[in-house]
Amino acid sequence: MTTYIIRRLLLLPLIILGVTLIVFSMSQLLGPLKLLSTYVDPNTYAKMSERDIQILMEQYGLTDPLPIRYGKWLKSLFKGDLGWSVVGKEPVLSALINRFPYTFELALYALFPIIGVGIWLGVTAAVHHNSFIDQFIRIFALIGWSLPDFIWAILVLLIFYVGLGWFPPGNLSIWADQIVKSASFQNYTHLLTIDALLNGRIDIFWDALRHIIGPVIAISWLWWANLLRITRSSMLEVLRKDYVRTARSKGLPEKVVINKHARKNALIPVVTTAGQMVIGLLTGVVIVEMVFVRTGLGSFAATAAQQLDYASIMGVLLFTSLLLIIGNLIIDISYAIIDPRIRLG
Amino acid sequence: MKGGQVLINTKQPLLKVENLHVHFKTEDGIIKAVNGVNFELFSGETLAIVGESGSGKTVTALSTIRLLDENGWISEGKIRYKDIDVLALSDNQLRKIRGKEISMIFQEPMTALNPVFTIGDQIIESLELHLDMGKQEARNRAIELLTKVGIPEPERRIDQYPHELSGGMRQRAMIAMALSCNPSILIADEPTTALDVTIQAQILELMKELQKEFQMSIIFITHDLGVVAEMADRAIVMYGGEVVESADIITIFKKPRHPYTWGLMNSIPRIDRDEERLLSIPGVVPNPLNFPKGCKFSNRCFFADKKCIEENPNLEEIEANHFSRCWHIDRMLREMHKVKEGER
Amino acid sequence: MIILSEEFKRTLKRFFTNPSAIIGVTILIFFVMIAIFAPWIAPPKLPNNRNLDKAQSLLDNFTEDNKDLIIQELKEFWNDNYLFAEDDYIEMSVLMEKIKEYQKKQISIDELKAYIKELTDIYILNETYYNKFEEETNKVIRQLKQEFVKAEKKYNNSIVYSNMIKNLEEIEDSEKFIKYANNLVEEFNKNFIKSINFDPYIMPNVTTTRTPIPPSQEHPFGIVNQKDIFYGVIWGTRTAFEIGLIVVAISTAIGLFVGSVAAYFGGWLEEVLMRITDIFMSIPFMLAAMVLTTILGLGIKNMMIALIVFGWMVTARLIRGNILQAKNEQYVMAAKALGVSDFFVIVKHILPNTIFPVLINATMRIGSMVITAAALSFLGLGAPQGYADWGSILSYSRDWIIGGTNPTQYWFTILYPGIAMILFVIGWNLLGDALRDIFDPRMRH
Repeated sequence: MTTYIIRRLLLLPLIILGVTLIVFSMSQLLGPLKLLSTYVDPNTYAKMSERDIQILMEQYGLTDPLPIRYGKWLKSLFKGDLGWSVVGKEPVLSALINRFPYTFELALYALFPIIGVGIWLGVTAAVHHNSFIDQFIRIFALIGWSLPDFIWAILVLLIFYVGLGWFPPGNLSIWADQIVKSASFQNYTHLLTIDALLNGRIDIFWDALRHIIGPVIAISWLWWANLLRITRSSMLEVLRKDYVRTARSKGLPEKVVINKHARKNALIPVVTTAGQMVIGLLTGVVIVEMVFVRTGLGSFAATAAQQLDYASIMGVLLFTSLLLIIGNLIIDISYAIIDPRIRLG
Repeated sequence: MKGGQVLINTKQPLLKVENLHVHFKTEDGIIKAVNGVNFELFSGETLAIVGESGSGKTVTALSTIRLLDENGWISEGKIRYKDIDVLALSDNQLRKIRGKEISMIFQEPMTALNPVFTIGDQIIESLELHLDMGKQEARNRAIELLTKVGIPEPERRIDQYPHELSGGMRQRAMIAMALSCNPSILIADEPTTALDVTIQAQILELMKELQKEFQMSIIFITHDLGVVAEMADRAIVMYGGEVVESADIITIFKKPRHPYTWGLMNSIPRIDRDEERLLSIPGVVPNPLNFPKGCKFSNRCFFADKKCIEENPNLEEIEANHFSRCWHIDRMLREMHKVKEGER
Repeated sequence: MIILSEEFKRTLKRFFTNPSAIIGVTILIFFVMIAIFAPWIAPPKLPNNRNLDKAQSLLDNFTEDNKDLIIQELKEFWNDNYLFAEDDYIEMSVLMEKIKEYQKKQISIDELKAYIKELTDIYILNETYYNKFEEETNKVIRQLKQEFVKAEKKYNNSIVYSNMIKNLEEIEDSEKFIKYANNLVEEFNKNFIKSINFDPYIMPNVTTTRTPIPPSQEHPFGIVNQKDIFYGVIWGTRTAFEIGLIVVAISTAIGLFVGSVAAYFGGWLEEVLMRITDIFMSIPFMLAAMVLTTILGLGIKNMMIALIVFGWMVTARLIRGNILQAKNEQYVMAAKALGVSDFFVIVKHILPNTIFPVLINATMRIGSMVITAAALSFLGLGAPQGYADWGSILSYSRDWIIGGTNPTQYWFTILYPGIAMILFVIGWNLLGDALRDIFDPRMRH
């Protein structure tokens, strides 16, 4: 296993570099004029003559040959300079760091229903293969999987906020927001719910929770449907295996056969698709944050895209790719730990 | 007991299977895998169930502990273990028998053992379940068992995973697991088929030793006549889901009384005979979706005639404890005699 | 004669007894029908020309006195559209000469540019040609040549039409006049529509208020932001198929190519290709599509490009894994031992057994691609304003529902496009599910 992990770690910088290359290439499609807007406020050079604009471009290295431009851009990346965010009115990097905790909190809370419900239902469906329960669960999952995220998000908003008034959009109610932004509130983790508890403010905790449940329902529905299907088919395959028959032949109770022997094996391929789920979460977050008007990386990305804030969207892309790469690495390592064949093979 | 008479079978059989019928539902139709099988197993003996793939031998064995796939069911018959009606047992009661009274080992140990648990875990599991042992006690017993089945360095091996052991050792581990609770019957489904010939011999040796030590009966399922000769006291030959011949081992080899059995005997090289060519039985096993009306072997049988095609012969006791299912044993005898004459 | 093997017959039987397959295929056929018959179900509102309309109505109520009026309308039409055709054509011819001179290096690029600017200033050419000239010289030159061809055609048409009108003037007989005039009006109409680049995919404005109007007989699904929802949903079906099929087809093809090359040749090539695949997969799909669409600009084509660029990797990995597995299968080694050439081994033995998961995956991806495309449109990043696309319609509804005071009164803005989308995706997913059920157990053996 150590060779496996070392190999993954060695590849890491290569992959990160590759990602920067792709993002850079995309940015170069903009052409020098638009790229200039990522460095300088367009209003300042809108009235300038062509000659002056040219000088400006040279100043920012936009007329250099490609490889040099790439090198310079990489260097500034390392220094933490991702450009200026028009949407956030601050450097892109700090815009990202400020918004990341909100998205992280959402994803964290979403993981529980996704994994819990998805795996539980997947196992149940497989065990009661072809019975009524199985069909019902499959249809349930099919609808979840086929439902476009934005439609579902709007529906959740409609039902739970407009209809029932339970889960309002936004991150916090105004009164709670004021407290959180005040000096007396300590932001230990930047996760609203946890910080609220740490500050001893149960009322803020509840408020934050109320605001987060709606988006969690919106995001998780689609992903537990996916997880369910994968768990189910993996479980079905495992249930056919010889060692399940051996377990039964030893006289083990059916519950033990399923939960101990079958499930552990079935979850191995499911873990590998957890990587897909992380992508899914990062994706779903965009829509959900927009619909529920929450602060976060997703809404930041969408707003930046709408306003053609190129620096910001590229920053988001780089940042989320990094998250994805790290996430995948963690998943790969845990996969190696779970499966003894890989661990000791 | 009368004096002078050979004591044959006054004991009660340990396992008695009567008129067993097993069906499977598939998308192409219903497969009748087992069609009226009868046999008995006595304590201390090794019974071989012989036949080619598709003859129903594995399904028969699996039925004794009701371990069929979900699309299979026992449509008719009686299975009696000691004085328990196996088919009438509840699931809970059945589980008390599996692994404890009747154990099974399978053909491919790599897939039959759970790859994510150590072999120690898998043995200890049985011990904890059936014998109510504590963790430490179970672990010690497991190490003992591993030693008994001939695995070197058992204290180290016990914490290893199946993929870390060689094929032969995996099979030994599986035997250890099966014997852990001292069952009365061990069902061995082609346990050596997937192994090298030399390892095969070792495993068979081991099984014979353990049988003596644990005082158990073995049902040995195989298509390999060499193994049958080595291990079995009695044998039943299955074809098309039925028993076509059953007798003790010497009789089966020396006096086969069914064309199929005779064909099998002729198709293995024999040291005690002087032959130039091995005979094979022409034709193939009939489609289990659509068995012929008459004798299932008729389409491949040298001696078959109209009667064989129309009517399925019954299993008759042609001499003491020797059963055969054939209309024309006499024709076969005449042919055998001719062959013997030709050999001289 | 096609020999139906047992295998094939059994597969068909399994297909037709599988409820998912039947429902899925039924739904899809329903949508295909809608897509095909869209122009009849929701006829596009063809733009009208005032003069031609008047001429037509005069013809319908023909009297001897109308003759002059009719001819007058037609002449007005000709003036509006073709008066400058000759001059434009001359100017464009000169431009073509200048381009040739430039290409022969007889004049400088600045001189050419200056001439283009002139034409732009007198509105013969669109200013984008001038703006993009430096950056994409060759492309712009090509486009200018196309403009020239158009100008030439227009000029030729102008002469023909002017002659036709002259002929009409000379016809005495009323019946002949009517017939000839009708033909003329039809001809002019056709050309008129062509010349203004009418796009049936742009949803027409049917009212003046932007507030959503509930369904009525004339507009069965209601109206939102002045657009007829029914029209949008029907034509949106075509858009959905277009996007789904094209994006998935091309990205699957790319993936197949990359994956099979990697798997078959192995070695460093495989390593490189797989690392590239890894790199692409390390970028979150939706965000990448958002960024690329933003960079390339609005438009369905650009959105499709973005989706394709980031959509091939799963296929590549899938086919590579399957081929690697199949390479080591017995039947491949047997074929090779018999001396079958590499190409045939791939085509006859490996491909059929590895292609099914790819097909299943592709079928399911159609649904998710349409959802992603709709999400992009929903965010305002995909389809241009007013394009018939379910996501666009839903983006309108979002504003009314979230911003509005009584959101449930605008239920129709979500319901119809929403159901269309959900059904469409369910159809593809059912089909994919069914294919997986049908082919999977077979593959296990």
